[in-house]
Amino acid sequence: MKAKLFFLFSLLLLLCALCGCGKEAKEGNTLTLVTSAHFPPYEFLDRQKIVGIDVDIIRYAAKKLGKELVIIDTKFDSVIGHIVTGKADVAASGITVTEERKKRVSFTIPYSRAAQMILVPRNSPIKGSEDLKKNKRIGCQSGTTAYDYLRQHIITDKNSPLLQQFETPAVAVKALKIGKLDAVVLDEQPAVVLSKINAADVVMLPQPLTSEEYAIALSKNASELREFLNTVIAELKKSGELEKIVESNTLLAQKVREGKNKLRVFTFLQGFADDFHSNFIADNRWQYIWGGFLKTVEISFFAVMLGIVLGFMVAVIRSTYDRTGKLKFLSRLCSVYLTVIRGTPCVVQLLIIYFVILKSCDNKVLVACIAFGINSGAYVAEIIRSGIMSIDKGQFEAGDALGLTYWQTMIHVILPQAFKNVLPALGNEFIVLIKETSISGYIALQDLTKAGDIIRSQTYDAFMPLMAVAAIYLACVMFLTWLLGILERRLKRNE
Amino acid sequence: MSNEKFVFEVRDLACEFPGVRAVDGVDFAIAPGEAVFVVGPSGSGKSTFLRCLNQLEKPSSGEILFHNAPVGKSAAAITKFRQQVGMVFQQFNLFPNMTIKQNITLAPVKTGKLSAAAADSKAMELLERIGLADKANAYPMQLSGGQKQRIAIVRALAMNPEVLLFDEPTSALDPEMVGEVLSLMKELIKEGMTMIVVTHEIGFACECAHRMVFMDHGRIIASDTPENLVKNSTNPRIREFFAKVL
Repeated sequence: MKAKLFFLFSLLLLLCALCGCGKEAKEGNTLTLVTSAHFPPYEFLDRQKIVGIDVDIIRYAAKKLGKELVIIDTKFDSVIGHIVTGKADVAASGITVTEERKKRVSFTIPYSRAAQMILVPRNSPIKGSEDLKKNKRIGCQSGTTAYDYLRQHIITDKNSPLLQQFETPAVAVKALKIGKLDAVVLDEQPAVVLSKINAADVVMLPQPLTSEEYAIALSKNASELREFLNTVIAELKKSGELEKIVESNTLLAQKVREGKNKLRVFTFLQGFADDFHSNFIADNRWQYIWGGFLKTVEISFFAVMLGIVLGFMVAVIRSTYDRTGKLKFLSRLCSVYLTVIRGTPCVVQLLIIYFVILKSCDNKVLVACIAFGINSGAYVAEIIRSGIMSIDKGQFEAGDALGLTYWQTMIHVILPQAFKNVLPALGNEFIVLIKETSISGYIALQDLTKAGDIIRSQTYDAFMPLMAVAAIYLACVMFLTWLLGILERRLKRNE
Repeated sequence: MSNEKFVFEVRDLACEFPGVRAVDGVDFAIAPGEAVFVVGPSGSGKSTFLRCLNQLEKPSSGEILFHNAPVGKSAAAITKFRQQVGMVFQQFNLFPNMTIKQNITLAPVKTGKLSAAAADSKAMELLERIGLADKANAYPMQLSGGQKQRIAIVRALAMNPEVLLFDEPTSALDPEMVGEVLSLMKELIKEGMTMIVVTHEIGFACECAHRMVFMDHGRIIASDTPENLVKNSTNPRIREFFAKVL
């Protein structure tokens, strides 16, 4: 039930986000805030509502302006992009002021001073920032200043696998807990919260890696709004209201976390629901699965079609040559095709077609359809040819004797019978093909398998994404088998 | 029927397979309306000779004239020629993927001889004639051997052929099915259908044939009325054969 609610709410959120995207005009009665609600206590979800320090500050400002607050929840690394493209008025997401970001947006005065803190497992040999340079695996949230800082000062090799980016701080800490990382660098507030939650396994080093300031980002053209926000922030600081906001949100963040943790201990079902939530609902991850499923279906469908067309052509050409000695050149060509395609791995063919033959084609789905279609065609060809060979010679002779042409006999008499005879083998080939498309990830195509991989890399949960992906493949294959069964029964009515 | 003297005229026909000369210099002719039965021991080249007539086997040498003109060498010419020559096989060779009616109408429609509607009514007419109208929408698998062979005959008739070739039409049938096929053939002979029949049904041949041809070792060694051939032949090979089969 709860999972269902999560799902419905996520749909609502998605709708809200979509509506938000549509709103380009900055005038009007709304103030649009873009944030990434995975950064407690600055912004996080409490009973499916986006709350936090940043939200409270902006809500306060919106009230003063007499405008309605609209919140867009997105990934942190696209928050600034929302401002640049005018999809939101203000960005408040624990954004650190950097020279780099100043080139694209303008900032208010800082409302919070934050340090980048180092989290390590208990009894870790890492005692300070210097130790991080000793070949340690370090995690951080993707797109954050922690990442930039680590890149510039700690792990300078761009291709080093030591520095790993995570979607949310919590996942980074989870990776730390299960031993996949030696340290995590996070903004102070979430670091404090997460080290408290995971106090049994994780400690926060007292010395910050670096310290920095958070401010609200807005478009460079919105100087009026910036001045207004500056006065609002100054006012909040002066009245002590800001401190209260920070305190109450820190508490709330802790409560939300503990509430969840308690439930996790008590009921397995809640644990399942939580896992389900983090793998499919949070961040709208189900969209990976859905998108991947559509891609897989699309690729499989068109590849099967192409395979059938190619297969029939090749089979007919080869059979014609065997029977009549005609089409010698084409038949030789088909033999080469069969030898090469059946003699090399499908994944190699896919890569060759993508990187060599269709180098200039950017449409990966098209490339995959062609690659899998060509591959399948070779197997279909031999299946159909075996079907044609299984037809009694008398059928050809009867067609000949009636004055039908070779092709008329082929199309009306031989192929329908051949097709019926090989339908089970063809079905088998199509089932193999559907599953073969799971190598599409090699050309960075987000098919169903790749979707599962992406979720796995984000949530560090292997069970749910893999089970979901497996279940969907199974459902596809069962559906296909069912369709083939119907077709087979239809073709059998003449027996 | 046509005004020409012969429907088929064959001169010095030979057909070789690797190691065998199945047909070895045959001269033969058949007039319109004539029913010629080809008999002889197994392996004597009867079937090969018949299959050479409509190019199911490629003759190695010799000449086949159809209405006094040679059949062209091109696939199109051979196809055109076959549309005028019906053939009935030992194994019926009905198309199992089609209904009986579709079996009959396929060729007339696809070759452009008849419209779909005309072919349909022609098929029903033919099925009425052999009393199998109720099987129009059945599939070949659902029929007995005798029914299948009668369908195969009317399938050939649907093309309005000028000559019908029968390649041992009753050899694959259970004995009790043979009669229905033979009586249909007899009717066709009475109606003046030109036909060449390769058969082992010597009794039937004696009863219906206008002329009987005896083949041995790829050659025609005798051609005469059934009575003369069966009763009066002096050739020991022929006498021995008939002594065995009758």
